[in-house]
Amino acid sequence: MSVDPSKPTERGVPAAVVVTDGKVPGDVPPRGDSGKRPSSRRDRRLANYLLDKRLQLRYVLLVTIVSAIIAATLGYLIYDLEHGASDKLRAGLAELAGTDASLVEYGDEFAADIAGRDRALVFQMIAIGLGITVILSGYLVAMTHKVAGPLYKVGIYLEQMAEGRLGPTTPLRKGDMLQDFYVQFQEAHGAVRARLHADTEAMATLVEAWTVELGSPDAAARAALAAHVEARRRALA
Amino acid sequence: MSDRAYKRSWKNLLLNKQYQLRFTLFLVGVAALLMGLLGWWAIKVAQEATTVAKSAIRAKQCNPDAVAVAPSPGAAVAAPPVVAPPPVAPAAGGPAGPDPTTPPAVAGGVGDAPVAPADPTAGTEEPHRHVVIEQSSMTMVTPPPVAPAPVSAGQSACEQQIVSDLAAADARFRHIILVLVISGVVLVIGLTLMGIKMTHRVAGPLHKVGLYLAKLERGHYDKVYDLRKGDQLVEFYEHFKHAHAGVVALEREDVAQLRAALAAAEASPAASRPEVAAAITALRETLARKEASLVG
Repeated sequence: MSVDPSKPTERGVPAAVVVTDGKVPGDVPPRGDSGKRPSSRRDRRLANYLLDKRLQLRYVLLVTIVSAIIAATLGYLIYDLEHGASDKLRAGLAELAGTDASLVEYGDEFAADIAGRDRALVFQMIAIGLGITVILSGYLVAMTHKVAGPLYKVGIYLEQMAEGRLGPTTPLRKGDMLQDFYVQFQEAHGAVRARLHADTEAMATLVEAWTVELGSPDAAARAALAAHVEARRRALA
Repeated sequence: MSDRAYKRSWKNLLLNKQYQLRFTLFLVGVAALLMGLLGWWAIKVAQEATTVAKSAIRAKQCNPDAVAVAPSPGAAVAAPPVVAPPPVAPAAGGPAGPDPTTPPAVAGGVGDAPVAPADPTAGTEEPHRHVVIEQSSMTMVTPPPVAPAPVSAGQSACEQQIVSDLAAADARFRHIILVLVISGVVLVIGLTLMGIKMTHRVAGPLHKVGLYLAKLERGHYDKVYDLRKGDQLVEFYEHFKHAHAGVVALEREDVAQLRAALAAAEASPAASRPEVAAAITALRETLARKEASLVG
């Protein structure tokens, strides 16, 4: 039997909360069967981080592209300057060496050393660029998850509302963004739920007071109202 | 103001400050950090490249031509050639020039007292005043200043080229710094505007949903209009529309059930009982409220 932790027990003590799979019941509301379910545990973790691919990847791509453009432009400028200076040094050394064999040999070694440094600079910049991309992408996925998470949760409640089910809602996780929006949603959801609950109880009062004899013409109307009250109670549970 | 009248405007770009500014600041911060670090690296490399370029320019040697001409004023001012001055010698054709037959001229000496010969490298140091004393008449004559050695036209042009190359190298360095600073400022401003505009496309639908949620809370079930073109969260908004329709459907079901039940209950003999009459009265009010909420 499932126990709603939000409702106190008969003794007035809140029911125990059972943590399953690291989540408090109701933390993320159960989704309908129509929703895609990740196949494995690893997929589930990845899917949990990319809840709204379109929204999240848009930010990731934007920041990554902007960073890549800056890094590529300035990287090219740095390489160009470094390479130009190396060329000047090589040319100056060649001019100085003239026909002196020992100096020419030294110049060749020096030129090779400079060329090596230029290549190392390119690799260094590529490594830095890749590092920045990976770190930024990871951080942005985690950052956008704090927006996509609340939207995902509200989306599931909205799906339930569309199906005519208005169960209790739970607060967002610590660190999630859009807290204001979620509180607004919770208040509206709670108000609709409370109103429907009050209306259902008013209908239940009539059902209880309205005693009819079996087979009388009112019996069908009362039975229909009683069934409606039961259905509404189930929807609000 | 109705929801339909809500349009994109610069005034209401910041609908959800916390979310929008957080993302925009992150974007701008990353770009500024990258620009700053790589820009500092670029400036450092540019400084080294400028130093190398200037050393290479200075290492150029200007060979004098055979044709001697007077030095150009520009070259003399900008880069004075190091010319070893000749020892103090009589000026050719000078009116008060010393007689070649006379003993060597003395500097700062009088009479037959021995004096040190003139320093041949004196021209490179602090200029000295030279006087020649003519022993026969015991008069002191100041020779005209030593003229600089003649400089060839090619050498002058070469020196001018060196000076202009050095200035160009410095200008190029300054240009790189200027371009980096301007690019950085433009990037920060551009990304700030772009970030706010981009996050607005998420904050806009959330704002709109928030307005409908406030109405739902008050029990008003207005028609839900579509999002503006270019807005994000289209799927989320569709979910909201379905949810809104779901709540409206619940209310309609209630209205239909209440109408049927109340009609039957009021016609029933049980309606005369006080508890049934009270329940009917309460449900009449509920029905009226529900019907009113569905209008619009």
